[in-house]
Amino acid sequence: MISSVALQALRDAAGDAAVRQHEAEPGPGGLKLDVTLEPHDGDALARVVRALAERGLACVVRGGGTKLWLGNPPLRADVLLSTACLAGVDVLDADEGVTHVRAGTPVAELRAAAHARGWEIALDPARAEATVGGVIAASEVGPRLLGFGRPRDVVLGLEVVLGSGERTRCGGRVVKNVTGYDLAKLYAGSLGTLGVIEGAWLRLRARPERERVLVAAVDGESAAPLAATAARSPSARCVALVDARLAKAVATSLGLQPGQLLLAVELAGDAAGVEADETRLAAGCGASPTDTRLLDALRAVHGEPPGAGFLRFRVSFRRSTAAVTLRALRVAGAEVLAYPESGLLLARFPLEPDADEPALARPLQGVAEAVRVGGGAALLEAAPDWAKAGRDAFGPAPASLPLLCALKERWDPAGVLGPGRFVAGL
Amino acid sequence: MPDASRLVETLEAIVGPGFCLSSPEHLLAYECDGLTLHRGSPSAVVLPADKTEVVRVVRACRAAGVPFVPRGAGTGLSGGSLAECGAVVIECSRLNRVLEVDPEDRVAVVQPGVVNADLSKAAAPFGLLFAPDPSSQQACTVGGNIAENSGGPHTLKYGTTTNHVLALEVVLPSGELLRIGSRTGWDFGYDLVGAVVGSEGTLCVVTEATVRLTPLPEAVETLLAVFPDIVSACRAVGDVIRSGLVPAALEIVDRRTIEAIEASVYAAGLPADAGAVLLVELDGAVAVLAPQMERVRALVAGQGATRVEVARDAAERQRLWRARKGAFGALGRLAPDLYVHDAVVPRPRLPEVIDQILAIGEKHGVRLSNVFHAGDGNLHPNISFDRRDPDELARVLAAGDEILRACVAVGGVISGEHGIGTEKRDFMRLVFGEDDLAAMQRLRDAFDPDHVCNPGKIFPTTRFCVESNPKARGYDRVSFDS
Repeated sequence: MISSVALQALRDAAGDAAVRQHEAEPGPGGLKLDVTLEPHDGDALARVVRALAERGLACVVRGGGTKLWLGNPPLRADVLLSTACLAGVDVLDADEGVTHVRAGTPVAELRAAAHARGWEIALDPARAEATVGGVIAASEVGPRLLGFGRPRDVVLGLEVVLGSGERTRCGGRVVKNVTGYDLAKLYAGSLGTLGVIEGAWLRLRARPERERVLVAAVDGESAAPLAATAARSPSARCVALVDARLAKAVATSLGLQPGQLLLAVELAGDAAGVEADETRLAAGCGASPTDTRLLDALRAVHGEPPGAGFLRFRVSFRRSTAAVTLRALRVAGAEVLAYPESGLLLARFPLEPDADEPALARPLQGVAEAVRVGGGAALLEAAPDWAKAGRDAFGPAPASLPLLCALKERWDPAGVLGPGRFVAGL
Repeated sequence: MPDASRLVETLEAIVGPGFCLSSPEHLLAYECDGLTLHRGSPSAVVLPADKTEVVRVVRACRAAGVPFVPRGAGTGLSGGSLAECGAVVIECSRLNRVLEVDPEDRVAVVQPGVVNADLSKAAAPFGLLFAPDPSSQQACTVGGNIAENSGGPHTLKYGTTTNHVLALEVVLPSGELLRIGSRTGWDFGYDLVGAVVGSEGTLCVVTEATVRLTPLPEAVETLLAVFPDIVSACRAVGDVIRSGLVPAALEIVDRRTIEAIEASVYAAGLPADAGAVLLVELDGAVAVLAPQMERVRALVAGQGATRVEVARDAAERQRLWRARKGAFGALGRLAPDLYVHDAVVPRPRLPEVIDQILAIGEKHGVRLSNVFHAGDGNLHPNISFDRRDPDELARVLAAGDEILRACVAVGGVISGEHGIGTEKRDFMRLVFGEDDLAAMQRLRDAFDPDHVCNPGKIFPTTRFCVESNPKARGYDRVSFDS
C-alpha cells in the first residue's frame, strides 16, 4: 500500500489526472496494485520515474497488460506505470515506409493505419490490445515469426525514459544507422527493466498483394522435414507445427489421427509467388487452403494467460534438432506449437487443478531434455503462481550475469523498474 | 609510469617472436586505417594466435596500464582501429580460421580475422552465404564487420551485420573470456550480442563469432538504368521504395565515378554518356522476378531513364558488381587521398540532399563523386584530394562538415555503416543530446569501466579528455595527431 505522502508526490510529478486509484488488480506473482500512473507525455513520464526513484518505490510497466505475467514475479511493486496515455501514430511516412508511434499505441491501431496506406507492420502480438511498446519490451513474437523476425528487427530508433529518469533517444528514423551504440537492442526484450519505452521509429514493409493460409496433417516423424520443405517457399511467412490439442477445431475438421501434428503455413507476397508456392506445397506436403482463423488459434496459444491448469515454456533449439526436440517434449506430455525454421517453440503441459510441486517433475525433465538435445534454452512463460515461486523463470543464471547486473545498476540504480522480474532476479 | 619496453617484452613472450611489432618501421603500417587523415602511433602491435593469447595480451596491457585496440584488416573508414594514447593494437589476422560451417543449422563459427569473402566462399558449396557484403569484402574481416556493424549493397534486403550474428566469444576488458548470445539465435537475457555488434571495438575483443548463413536466392536479376543526371536517379529510387518493392540492392554510381571505374582495372563497360547509373538487383522466386523487373523498368522510365541494360548471365552480373565494389579503389587513382563520407537520409529526401551535396562540393571547390547505397538512403560522397595541400585539406573538411549537417537537417544521421570512430566523434552532438550520450556511456562503463578498450572513439572529445585523458592516467606515449 502506497503512502498518501508518496501518492501526493506522484500527483505533483505527473498531474492529478495521471494518478488513478482503483480496485486492487491482481498483478504478477500475487501482487495487488491499486494505483496506476498514466503520464500524458514524455516529460511527465520522466518526472514520474524520478519521483518513484526518489521515494524508493517500484513499478511494473504496463502497455496493454497482456503479458504482465512474463518473467519472474517482481520482488516488489507499488504501482502500475501505464503507457496508455502515450498513444498515437505520429508519423506514417508512406513514401519511406517508416512510422513513428508512441509506445502505448495498440499494434492493431498501427496496423490499421499502415494498411490504409499500403504498408504492413511486422509485429504479431497474440492479443489485439497489446501495445507497440509492450511488444518491443517483451520481444513478443507470433505465428508470423518466419516472415516478420523479431521486434528488434523492426525497430529503427527508440525514445526511452531510463530507470534513473532521463529521457533519451537511440537510433533514429533512417533505415540504416551506426551512429552510436545500438541501445535499442538492449531495450528490446528487457521487459521494461532498464527503461520505459516512450516512442519508436519502426520500419514498415509493403502490404502483401496476396495472403494464403494452408494446413496439412503430418505424422510425428515426417513433421520436421515437411516443415523445412514448407519453409523453403520464398513467400512463407508462417511455418508452424501444432499439436492437435492446441488447435482443436481445425484438427477435428481435418480428422487428425492421434500423434499427428498440423502443419500450418501462411504465404504472403506477390500473387504470382504465392500461387507458385501454394501449388508446390499442395504437391509436396499435401497442404490445403484454410482461413486465417488458424493463425488466430496459434496466437491464442501464445497469449493464454497463466491459470491453474497448465505450464507453458518457451524453448529455443538449433533448427537441425527440431525433430528430436519436439519428441523430447511430446514424450514428456507437452502440447507443442513449434516454429522449426526459427528454432523456437512453445511447450504447454496441462496440469491437474490440484497439482502441486511433484507434478512439475515430468515437465521439467522433458524441458531439460529438450534443452539438452536442442542446444537451446528454456523460459518458463506462464505457470500458476505456486509453480513460478522459488524458481527462476529464465533458468540457470548465465555466465554473463555480472554484465547484466552492471547494466541494470547503471540504468536503474534505484530499482524502480520491475525489480526482480528479469534474468536471475534482476 | 608504466614501462613500455617491459610491456613489449611481456607481449612478445605471450605471442612469440615475430608476432609483436614495436619498431617504428613496422608500426608505420598501423598508423591509420582507411581514413588516412587521422593518424596515431601504437606502442606495439601484437598478432595473437588464439583466444588464450588474446586473454593474456589484454591482461598484460591491464597490468601495465596501457589501453588496447582490436583491429581487423584496417579497412575501416572512420579511424575506429586507430591507436591513440600509445595503445597496443591487437591485430586479428592470425585468428583466421573458419571453425565450422553447419549447413543444417545454417550457421558458421569463425575466428574474427576471417576475411568476409572467404566466409562466403566456405559457405558456397552448401548453397549459403554470409549476407553482409561491404565493398572491402575481399580484405575486411568478420571481426571488423562485427565491430562496425558493416553493411554493403545487399543489406537493403538482408540487413546489416547485426542481423546475422548469433553468438560471440569475447574477451572483456577485465581479461575475462565470456560467451554471449546463442547459436539458436535466442537469448532470453539482455541482448548483449546486439549491443556489442556495432560498438566499434570499444566494449570487448571478439575472439569467435557464430554467424547466420543465408540461403542463396532461387534467382537473381540485375539491371542497370542509365540516367541523364544523378537527381533523376535518386527520384527513381524514391519511387521504387514507395512502391514497396525491396530489391536486394539499389545502388547509384555518378558520372565521375563511372569515369574512374572505366579507366581502371574494374572497367565493366559502364556507359560513358550517363549522368548516373542505377544498379538494381532483384532476387527471390522465379515466379515473382519477371513481374518485379517490369515494375522496376516502368518506375525508372518514369523518372527519365534513357535506357535499361539487363545482365544476361552471372558473368555479366559479377562484372557489374566488381565495378561497383571497385569504385573506391578506382577513385583512389584520381588523387593521393580519398575521403569516403558516410551519412544516411530518409530516402524521399535523396534528390534534394544530393543537390545540396553537389552545391557544397562546388562551393568549396572540391573533387566530389558519389557512389552509394541509394536504397538505404546511405550516401557516400567521396572527395578526392591531397592532404599535403593545407588549403585543399581545409576545404575538404569544411565540405564534409557541411554535408553532415545537411543530412542531419532532413532527419538523417552521420553514419550508416562506417562508424563514428575518431572521424565523427565530435559530430555526435549533431544527432544526440547529453543524456543520450550519457546512456551510451553507461553501456561503455558496464563493459569497460576504466576505458582501456579502444579509448577515444565514438564519444565527443571533450568527454574523452575529461574521462579518459591518457596523461591523467599516466600513459607515457601520447599522440593526438588528429
